[in-house]
Amino acid sequence: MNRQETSVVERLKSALGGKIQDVYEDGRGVVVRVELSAVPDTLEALRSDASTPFNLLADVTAVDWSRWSEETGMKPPPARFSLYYNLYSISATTRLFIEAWLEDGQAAPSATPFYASADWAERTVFDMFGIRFSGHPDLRRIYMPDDFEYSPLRKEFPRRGVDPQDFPQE
Amino acid sequence: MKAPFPRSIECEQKLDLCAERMILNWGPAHPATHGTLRVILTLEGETIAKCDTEIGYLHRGLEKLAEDWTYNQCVNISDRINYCSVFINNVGWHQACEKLFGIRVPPRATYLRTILSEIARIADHMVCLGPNCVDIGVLTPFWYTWNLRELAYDLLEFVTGARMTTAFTRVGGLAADAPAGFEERVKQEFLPEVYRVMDELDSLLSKNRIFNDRTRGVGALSQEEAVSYGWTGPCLRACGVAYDVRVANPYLAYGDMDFDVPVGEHGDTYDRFFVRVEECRQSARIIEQAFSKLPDGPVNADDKRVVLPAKGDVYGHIEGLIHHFEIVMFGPRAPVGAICYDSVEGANGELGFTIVSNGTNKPYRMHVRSPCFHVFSALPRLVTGRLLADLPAVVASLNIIAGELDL
Repeated sequence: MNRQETSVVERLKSALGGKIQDVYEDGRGVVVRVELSAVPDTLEALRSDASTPFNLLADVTAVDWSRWSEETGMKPPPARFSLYYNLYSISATTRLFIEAWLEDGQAAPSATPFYASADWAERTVFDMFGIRFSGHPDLRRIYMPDDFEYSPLRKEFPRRGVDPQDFPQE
Repeated sequence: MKAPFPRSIECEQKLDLCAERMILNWGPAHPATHGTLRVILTLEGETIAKCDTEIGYLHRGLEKLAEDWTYNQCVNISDRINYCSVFINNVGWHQACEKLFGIRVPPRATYLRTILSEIARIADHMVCLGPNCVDIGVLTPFWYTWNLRELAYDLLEFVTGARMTTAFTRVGGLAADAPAGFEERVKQEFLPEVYRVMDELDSLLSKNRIFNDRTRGVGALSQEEAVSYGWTGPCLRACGVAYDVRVANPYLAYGDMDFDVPVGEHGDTYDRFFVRVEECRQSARIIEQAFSKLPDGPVNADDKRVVLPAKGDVYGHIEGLIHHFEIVMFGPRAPVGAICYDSVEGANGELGFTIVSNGTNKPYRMHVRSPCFHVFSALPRLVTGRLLADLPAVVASLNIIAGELDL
């Protein structure tokens, strides 16, 4: 972590206290793991940060870890899904990732009050993983048809797709 | 207020018709959408009262496909993201892979990647600018831009063998070195034409009254809103925010290059148009500088885990043959548990790849941060309350590439 990232993380820790579970670095840069319920507070704190305002929410994405320990032999992750918020500060040219874990069926708080880009990004996550976002103004499927029953990026969805005959017929 | 004279029944009916809202479907197969996307408009007369968008007509499930393809095969997935500036996607994908594998690319490969990326960027901007003019009703600039795009595609074909789906990068470098005569062709045929076409566009359009009326103040967005919508690239720079991944986080050889980041003032269609024009000039400058500094040497990293052995070894030694077989049939394996994100400046903005590795030759999860997706999400905000005729002008100036929208 460089000096700028360290000071951002320090300020975040003092603002959120025990809600921050972990801070680590990997191939993405600095990743801050928070409780799922603390995501809105974290985003708000980072967006209104005085010296490095993270005003660009570049992306929201999820990973389905349900096949992880089976494929790698590593210990199972804390929950089924992880959500990643890719934040960037244009003025300070600093990137930060927020990570939050959730189980299947659990709803995540929406980031739409803070970033307009969260609208479509969360719709994609909802469409592809079936993760609901509470407080989202318009949570519809974005890519797949409305009567499509599956969430294609879940690991149990077959890579070759489903048989067209499985589609509900009108 | 009542009309001074009682209106005829026919007149009343006409007024009722105007007051009635009309639903208009624009797309998914309309020539001015430049791709398969659907815009559902609620019109009051010719004014757009409500705008809703529907995408997904070109959704191919690339992120799911990537989970079944090796790291070298996935370059074909990146080909189909932004099909107008394919080489930049190739670089973006393999740059993320190289970060995952911990490989440094040799200098000649980084310079060649820089040159080819900029040629692809110019081609992409031409695909945006020409049809943008046609949609507004100016046909002449289209022929200049399309000719330049043709020259750019000829050059890409000369190097990579393909006009659009180049698939030319590999983990650790390039599929091959540039053929002899590449530098001369770029310098003699291409670069003078770039400057000439940009000057033509400037002189044809920048002071043209009709063009100004159709584009100035049309589809404008403020800096704060553009950032909030996740805009990047020329569209964001047209709003006055000088964010360019090539400068903010220099990759390839951009750190050694001297170039400007053009920014607009009002964030409208006019600014987006001329930011792209100026960017093409800067791309030409980058290509000139990259050729003057182009080093000699190999175009692939000296790393036996990922790079194919020399042909002499393959045909001469059993170890070389096995090595070749392993890389071709199974592909390189990434370290287990590694996650990485890397982004490049695509023609439309920040193009980022997230890879989660499970230690096999295929990604556990691949995610694309595509610039078009976020740019297009602001369309209802840009056109609501404006005339229907502004819609094609705005959509074309955003350079919506359906392949990047849908993944």
